[in-house]
Amino acid sequence: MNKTNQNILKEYAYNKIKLLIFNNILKSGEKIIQEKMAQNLGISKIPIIQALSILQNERLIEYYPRKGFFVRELLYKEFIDILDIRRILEQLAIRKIIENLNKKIRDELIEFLEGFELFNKTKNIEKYYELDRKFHSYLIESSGNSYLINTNNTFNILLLCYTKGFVTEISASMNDHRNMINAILEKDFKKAIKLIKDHTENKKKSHIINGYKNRTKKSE
Amino acid sequence: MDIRIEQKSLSNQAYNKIKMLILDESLKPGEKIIQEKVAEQLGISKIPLIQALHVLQNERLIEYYPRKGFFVREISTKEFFDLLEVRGSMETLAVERIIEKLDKAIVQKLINFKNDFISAFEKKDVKKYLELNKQFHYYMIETAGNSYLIDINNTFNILLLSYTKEFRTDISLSIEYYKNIIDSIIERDVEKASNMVVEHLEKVKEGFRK
Repeated sequence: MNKTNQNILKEYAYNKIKLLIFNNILKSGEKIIQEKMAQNLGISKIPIIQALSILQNERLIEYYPRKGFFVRELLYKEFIDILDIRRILEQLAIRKIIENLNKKIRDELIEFLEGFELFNKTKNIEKYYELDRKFHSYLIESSGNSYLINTNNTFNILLLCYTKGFVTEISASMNDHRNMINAILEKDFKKAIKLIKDHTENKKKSHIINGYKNRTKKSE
Repeated sequence: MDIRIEQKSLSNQAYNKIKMLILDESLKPGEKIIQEKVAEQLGISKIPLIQALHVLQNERLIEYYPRKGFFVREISTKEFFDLLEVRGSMETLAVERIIEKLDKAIVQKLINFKNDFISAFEKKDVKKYLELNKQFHYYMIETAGNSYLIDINNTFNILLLSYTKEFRTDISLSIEYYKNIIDSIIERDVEKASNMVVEHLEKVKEGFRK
């Protein structure tokens, strides 16, 4: 097989397995059985192993010698670390967006706000959270800072926050989004920074309340 | 089995050597990496060399062009500024966390840093000063206790890449910042410490533009 085909298969396996992890079909702590995975995806074991080693670099799975690959479990402390990283990434993103604010970005932000208001009013929770994901990716992408974008992608910061974290209740989230977008439009960097910080601290607290802390790592 | 271990450590050594050559600009940005030559210089075969080059490619220090080979990646000014901004964000978080967990041992360590900075500066010992600079920033990232900070720094060589370029800036620009950053951490002044971190990096940018 030539190199290009090999790469296509590797990427295919990588995307599929990543999706299985983020959709919680492969659960935290679960062993990834290579033969089964190869069979399910209808490809050979080589691209599976290549994909697994990329996912290992991204710290989504881990390898134990003579045991194999497992979906990595996020400990409470680590989740808090990720929330903090997300916070500083978004703070920087917003700083850059305010610096570069133009008509196009303004219009896009207003469109996001209108979307949030609509889905909140019509109680379309699914659409609301879909827009929420788009909005946060939009902030990162619009920063125009390649290191910021790469850090988010390589460490799956936003993705991990969505899938492993508890979702903020919709009316609180609506408030946060409204205030955030307004602060950006008013170029009020200090206010925007504080909003993100408070939002992060609230998330941390809700995790403690929800007992994430008590979840212990399963023994191997 | 033995052969594989040997190969792995050879490629590791090659990785470290080549990385150093890139960071001290012995291999210049845009320069082609001639595999035969580097293999001969390092006294290794081409297999561990190629493995090392692939790791460096993942770290975006070098890039591969089909039918042309590996080249040292050129970092534009825009990219360097992007990197400094992310570094500023990381260090802001680090400062915050360090203030939260500040104890006698950390305070002592910080005071030592400050005294060493001042003494190197007064003696105009640039080499020592820059070495301290490096140690201080690693200390902050590692002491913050957020494993992602360490991983991000390693994956993107944030601090290492800052230094290769920062060498071009004047050390008299930074001494006041280091004193202020350390003092405000010890005084537990999160806002001032973070402002100093960001301001310092903005100064680095300014110095670089000139």
